[in-house]
Amino acid sequence: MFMKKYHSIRGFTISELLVASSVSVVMVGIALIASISLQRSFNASLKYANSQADQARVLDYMAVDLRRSLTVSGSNGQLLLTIPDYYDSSGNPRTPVVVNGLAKYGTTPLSVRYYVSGSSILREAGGATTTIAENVEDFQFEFTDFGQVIEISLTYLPTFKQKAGASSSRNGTKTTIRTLLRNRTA
Amino acid sequence: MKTTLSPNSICRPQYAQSGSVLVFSMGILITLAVLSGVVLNILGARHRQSFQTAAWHNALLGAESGIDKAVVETKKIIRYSSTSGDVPWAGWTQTAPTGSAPKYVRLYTRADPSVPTGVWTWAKVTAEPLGYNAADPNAVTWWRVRSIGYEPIPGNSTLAGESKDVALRKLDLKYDHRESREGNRVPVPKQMASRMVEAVLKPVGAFRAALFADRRIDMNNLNIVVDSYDSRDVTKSTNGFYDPTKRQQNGDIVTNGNVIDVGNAHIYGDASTNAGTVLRAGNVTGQIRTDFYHELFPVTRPSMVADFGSPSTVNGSATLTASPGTPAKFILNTINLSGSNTLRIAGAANGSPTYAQILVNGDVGLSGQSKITLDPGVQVRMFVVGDADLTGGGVANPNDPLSFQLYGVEQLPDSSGNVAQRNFKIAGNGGFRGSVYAPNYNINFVGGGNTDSIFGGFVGRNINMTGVQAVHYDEALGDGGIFGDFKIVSWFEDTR
Repeated sequence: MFMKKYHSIRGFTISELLVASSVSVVMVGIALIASISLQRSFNASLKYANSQADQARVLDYMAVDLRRSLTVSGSNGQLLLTIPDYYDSSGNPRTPVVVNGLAKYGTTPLSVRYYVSGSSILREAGGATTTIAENVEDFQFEFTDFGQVIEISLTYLPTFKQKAGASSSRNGTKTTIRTLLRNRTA
Repeated sequence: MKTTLSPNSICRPQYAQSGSVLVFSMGILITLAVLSGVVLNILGARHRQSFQTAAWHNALLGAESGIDKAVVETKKIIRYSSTSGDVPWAGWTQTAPTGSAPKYVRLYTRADPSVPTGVWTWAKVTAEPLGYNAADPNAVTWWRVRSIGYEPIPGNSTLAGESKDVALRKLDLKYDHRESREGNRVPVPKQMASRMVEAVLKPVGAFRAALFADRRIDMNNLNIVVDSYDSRDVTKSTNGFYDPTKRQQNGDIVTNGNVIDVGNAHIYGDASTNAGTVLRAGNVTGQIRTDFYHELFPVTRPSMVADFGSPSTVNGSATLTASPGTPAKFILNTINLSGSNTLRIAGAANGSPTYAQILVNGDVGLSGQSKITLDPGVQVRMFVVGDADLTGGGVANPNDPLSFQLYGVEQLPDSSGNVAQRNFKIAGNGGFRGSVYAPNYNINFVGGGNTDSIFGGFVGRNINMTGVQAVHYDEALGDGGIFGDFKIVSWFEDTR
C-alpha cells in the first residue's frame, strides 16, 4: 500500500525522461566514438608494430645474404645477388677448393633474388621461393652501392600520416642497414 | 504528521541501484582487464621478440670474433720464432691425430652468473688447414675456420614472432638445433641464439699493391701511369708479360700514412690513405679511400748458412749459380760493381726453375754500365742490410717480377738507440722487373727516358718517383714473396 504510493510519487516527468535520454544518447555516442577511435588507434599501433617486425625480418634476410654475396646488383625493384654454392645436393657444406688464389665452393655461384610480388616480398634462391613478408604493399626500398658496402633503406606507410604528407610519414618509419660485403674484392 | 517508512520499502530500490553500479563497474573493469591483457600479451610478445632478435644479432658478433681469434693464431705461425714467445695455437685443443692434418678447437668463455655453471661459452672455433701437405707440415697453407657464436636470450624461453621469423632466426630455446639436426638431443644451459660463420684464410704475400708506402708516396707530377696485369692469366697478359691492350685496373697505390701526391698520374686502381689526403688525384680511375691500414711486418735477417765455396764479396764481374729445388745460399759483405761489371745469377741451361737466396750484410751498388743479370728460370731472393743503389745498368731480369725479390732487412738500433734510415735507389731504364719489400727503407725511382717502365710491386717507408714513367703491377705478386699475413678470402654464414 505504502509502496504503491511511494512509486507513484517517484515517477519521472516526460521532461526528465527527455533530458535523461538526451544525456544518455550523448554519452553513449561519445563512448562509441571513443571506443572506435581507441580500436582504430590500437589497430594502427598493431599494424605499425607488425610492419616494424616485417621490416626487421626483410632487412635481416637481405643482410645475411649480402654479407656472404659474391656479386650484388639492384635493378627494376629487385635485388640480385650471387652467393657461394656452399651446400651440396644433400644440404651439407662443401669443402672449399683453392683455384687461382680464390676459395671456391662448387662450380657455379648460387643466384639469389629479392623482389616484390603483389603485396608480398619474396626471396628466390636456387629455384626455391620463400615469402618473407606478406601484406606489405606499402613497403618501399632504396638501394645504394658504395662498392664494398651496400646500403638498403626500407620504409612503410603508417596508418596515421603526418599532415606534411606520405613522404614525411615514411621518414618516420625509415630503417637503414649498411652491410659490408665480406667477399667482394672489386 | 508522522510518517513511518518501512526499511524494506526504502532499501529495496537503494539495493537495486547499488547493484547496478557494481555490475556496471565490474563490467567496465573486466572489459578493461581484457583489453589490458590483450595489449600486455602483444607487448610481451614484442618485448620477447626484441630480445630474441638482439641476441641473434649479437651471436654473429661472437662468431666473427671467433674468426678473428683464429686469424691471430695463423699470423703467429708466420711470425713465430723461438724468441718471440708467441706460440701458435697455444690454448687450443688439437683433435686430429699426429701425422694427419691438424685440427684445432677452442671454446671462448666469459663469466655469466645467470648460467648455472657461472660461465658462458660465447664462441666455439674450429680451424683446419686446406691443402695440408704431410711431407712439408710446416709449409704455409690456407686455413678453413668455422666459428659458432652463442648469445643468451634474457627472459623466458617462449618463442616470439611469426613462423617467418623463426625460419630466419633459428633459436635454441631448449635444445641445440645444430645437434638436433644431427639427431642428437643436447639441452642448452640457457635459451640462446647461435650463428655459425665459415671463413677461408689465405696467406698473403708481401707485395699486395703496385705502390705501398708506410708513410708517403710522391709521384712528382710526371704524368706517370700505374696499372696492372696478371702474368698467370692469358686474358690479362701475353706470354706472362704486360700487354697494354690487356690493362687491368688493380694498380693500387696505398699508404699507411696520410698523404699521397698523385701528381695527376693516371692510376688505374684505387688510391688509399689512412684518414689522409690524395693530392692531385684527377686521373684516378678507382676509388679514393681514406680507410686504409695494413700492418707492415719487418723483415728479419734470415738465419742461413752460405753454401760451401761461395764468395763473401762481389767487387767485380762474378757468377753465382742458382740451384733447382733447395735454393743456393750466398752471404756477401757487399756487392759493388762499376764500369761494365756484371753479376750473373746463372740458372739451368734449359731455363727450368732454379733458386738462389742472397744475404748482403752491407751495401749493394751499381754504377756505370754495371748490372745484375738473371738467367731464364732463375728466381732470386736478395736480402740487403745496408743501402742498395740499383742504377747503373740496373737489373736485367728476363723472368716475371716475382723472380727478383729484394728485401730490406729491419735495422736494429745502435748503442745510442738510433736506427739508421736506409735507402733503395732503383733505375727504370731498361725496364726494371722485380719486386721490393722494404718497409723501413725509402725507395727512390730514378730515370729520365720517356719509356722508363718498371714491372712489379713495391713496398717502402716513403716512395718517391723522379723519372719513371710507368709502373705495371703484376697481380700474381699478391700470392707470392715471403708471407707476412693472412687475410679472409671467403666468408659464409651457414644458416642451417
